[in-house]
Amino acid sequence: MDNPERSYRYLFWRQLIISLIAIGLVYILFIRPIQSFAVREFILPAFDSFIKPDSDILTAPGRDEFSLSSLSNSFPSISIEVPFNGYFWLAMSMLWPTKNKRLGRVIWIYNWVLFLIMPIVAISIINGFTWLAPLANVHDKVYKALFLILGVLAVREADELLKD
Amino acid sequence: MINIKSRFSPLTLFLLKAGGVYAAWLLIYDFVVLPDGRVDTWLSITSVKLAAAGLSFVGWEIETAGRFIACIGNRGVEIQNGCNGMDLLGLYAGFIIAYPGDLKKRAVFMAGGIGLLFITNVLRIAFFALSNLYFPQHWDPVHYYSSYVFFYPIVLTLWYLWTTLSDHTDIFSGASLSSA
Repeated sequence: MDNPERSYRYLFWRQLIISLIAIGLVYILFIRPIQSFAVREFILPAFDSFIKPDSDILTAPGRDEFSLSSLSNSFPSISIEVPFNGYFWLAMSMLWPTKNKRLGRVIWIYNWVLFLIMPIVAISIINGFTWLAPLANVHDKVYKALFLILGVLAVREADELLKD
Repeated sequence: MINIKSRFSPLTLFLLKAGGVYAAWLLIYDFVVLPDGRVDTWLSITSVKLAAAGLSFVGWEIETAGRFIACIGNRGVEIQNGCNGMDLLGLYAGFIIAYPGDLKKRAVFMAGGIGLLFITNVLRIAFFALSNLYFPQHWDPVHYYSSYVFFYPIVLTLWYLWTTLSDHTDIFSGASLSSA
């Protein structure tokens, strides 16, 4: 391994660690409190207004999400998270140092799409389409796992390029 | 007949495969494993026992009851389903299953990783018991961020190592998410 290669790789890994720590702190200190406030003050009351007084659906606020559950246990409880949540920032903190715009764009676009998916799913469940609940739970975990995978693959690709 | 392999890039195929593996695992977990309860109960109780044994060994006075663990005289911690590391084991294994590589190496790497994550979960539970002793007022952030501190660095590092060990760079080298 020659020196320029070592230094490029060293700089890349250093940048990655700084990015993970810095974005982690920004998320914990600023982004998440704002998201929690938005859920508590605006988003949850807005969804509550769709629930009829005699409904079987129960909502409960979380940290940066709210949950929908059934009083009669007719469907599994689901959590509705705001887009651009912790998994987005964790994935982006891996993607930014790699400068991988292609994968970054995929994650960005998917989070904007979540602004459509999440309310549609929540309102559908509130209106009786409770069979969506298990699918929503699966979707919630799968998309987060795929975000992390894209982050790791971007890091691996960048390191491989710096090696060559 | 549509040839999926020529239609999609290796990266897209891998993501579809990984998504499929995760979806299958989550459905099996939600509809079979979780209602049955035996695996989750075993995982929670075994982890609590090991955490208690570890803490007792290094000098703390610990009491346990089933899924509960506490430093004597302090508030206890209950390791519920969903908090016992099971979902993280699935997250880790899903990637190793979906990413191409030698079958034997994959089995060894998966078993080793699951073992490491299990031990990490035992340490996390021990940390929960101690956090209730030394800084109980910070329970919520300790609990919420524990996955990010204990699990994700290990899972992401192991995933990365598997991509280097399996040596299948075609997935990401110049790959595009659009169809080929």
